[in-house]
Amino acid sequence: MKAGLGKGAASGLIVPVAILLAWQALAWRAGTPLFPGPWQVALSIWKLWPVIVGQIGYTLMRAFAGFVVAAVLMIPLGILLGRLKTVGRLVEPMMDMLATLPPPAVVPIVMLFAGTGDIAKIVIIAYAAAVPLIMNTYEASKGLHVMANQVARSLRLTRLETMLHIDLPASLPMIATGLRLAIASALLVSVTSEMLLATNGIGVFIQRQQENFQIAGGLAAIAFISVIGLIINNLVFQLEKRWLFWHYRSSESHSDG
Amino acid sequence: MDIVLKVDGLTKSYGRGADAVRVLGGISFEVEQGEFVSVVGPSGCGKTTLLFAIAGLHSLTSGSVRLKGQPVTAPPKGVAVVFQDYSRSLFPWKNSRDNVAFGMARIGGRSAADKRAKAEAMLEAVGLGGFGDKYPWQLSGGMQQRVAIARALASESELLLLDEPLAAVDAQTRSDMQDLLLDIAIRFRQTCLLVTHDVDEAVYMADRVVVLTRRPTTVDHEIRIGLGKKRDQIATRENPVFLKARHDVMTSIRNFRAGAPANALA
Ligand SMILES: Nc1ncnc2c1ncn2[C@@H]1O[C@H](COP(=O)(O)OP(=O)(O)OP(=O)(O)O)[C@@H](O)[C@H]1O
Ligand SMILES: [Mg+2]
Repeated sequence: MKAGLGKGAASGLIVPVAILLAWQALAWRAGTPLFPGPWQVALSIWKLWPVIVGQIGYTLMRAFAGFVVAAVLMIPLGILLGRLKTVGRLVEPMMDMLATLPPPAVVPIVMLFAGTGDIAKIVIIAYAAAVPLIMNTYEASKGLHVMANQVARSLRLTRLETMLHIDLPASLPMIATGLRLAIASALLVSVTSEMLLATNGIGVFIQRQQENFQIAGGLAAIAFISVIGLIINNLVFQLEKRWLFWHYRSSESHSDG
Repeated sequence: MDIVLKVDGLTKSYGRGADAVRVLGGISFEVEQGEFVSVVGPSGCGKTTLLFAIAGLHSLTSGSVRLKGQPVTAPPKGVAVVFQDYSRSLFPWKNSRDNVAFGMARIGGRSAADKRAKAEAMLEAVGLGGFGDKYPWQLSGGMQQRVAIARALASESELLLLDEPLAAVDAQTRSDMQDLLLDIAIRFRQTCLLVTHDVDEAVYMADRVVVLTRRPTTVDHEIRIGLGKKRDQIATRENPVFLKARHDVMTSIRNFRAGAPANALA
């Protein structure tokens, strides 16, 4: 499979290149700035990149802040709730309910308490990132085998040591899934929150470009976000390979028999 | 001789009210310093329950467990456990060395480097020298259980509790590991309590065998195995003392099974 990867990547380019060409052809035929082709978008990127990078900075910073707040609060909370079975069962319905609530729906409530500034946006982002994190961490921690706890107790570990050295690493494969979803949510909601609570950031930039019929400029910004998303995704994947090798390797050796 | 462990009138029921099932019905026995004691009983009679109660991992319904005179209510200092299910008792994110060093987590006054060195020494003692960097999932079942034994040894316990540690390994590995455990018990002057349903293993390993009844489980009788500390897989198993003890224990166990209600046989 690995040997064919280079070839696979090359043949994977065929479809995107074909789409770009077709898009360009259609844009030429349309001949209006309201339907820019990839070439106009590229020109916009070249012209606008200092502005875009500056605006994306705000967006990423808030996304990061919201994500960190969510991770720092929700991972320990999820592990704790998974351990305290009775409390966990009590709050489970509430978690399910919050999980179905789309993050933009909380915007008016947050605005009441936190206005429309950075704090408000970070709160909304944190809320969006918190949902997949708490769900995945809680499920993982709840599902830990009793044996792990018995071993911990027989080694006379304290509660905190058990959570840190056993529950956390044992839950890490599922937490990683939660983290990946949380990152995607944080980015998405960071852009959305800017569009709803306009001040600065790439969301605002895109909106302004569209309002001024600068479609190519808006698309340039979107291209930037996609590339950043890809880079972050890859980074997370590398970290996972580093920290969770034992999980992938051990499940491999189990399925071998 | 010093008494390390004294179990007195231990009962244990699971569940409450009408659903309560009495598993242990009043168990009493003692373990002396340096002794290797086997507790043998039919499958499902509550061996793990008994061992967990002794380890402070389960609450008792009544009776008492004392370690060097101190009542056991929570996992006490000085007791190490080798669990029946080795695949779940080791941590896959730690290599063997760190798994063993983790056994010393609550032992104060040692640097991390000291613990690692001691872990290497314990791995060496169970015949896994040079396997410190391997992860549990890279080792065979028998090797994993040896890592678990090394971890238990590393904590320098007064009492080593073994819950059918060899039940899941193949026959050849099993007899090798019986000898390994015996060798370790002698070298470290380790007091050991082994629970097993395997009569041959119980007699082969022990200075004394405690024979359990069926549920609600009590002690039927004890026999001293007058074979000395050194055992040999061939000679010991042909020794008349071994054969007689084996005969005795087998007979008791068979009688319980014959008289057992259908659900206890399942
Ligand atoms: N937590 C529990 N709740 C209810 N019943 C239990 C519990 N743990 C064990 N039992 C029951 O108690 C009985 C004894 O279980 P235990 O595991 O101690 O037996 P064992 O002798 O170790 O069995 P094995 O030979 O299979 O290891 C079994 O019938 C089991 O179903
Ligand atoms: Mg058992």
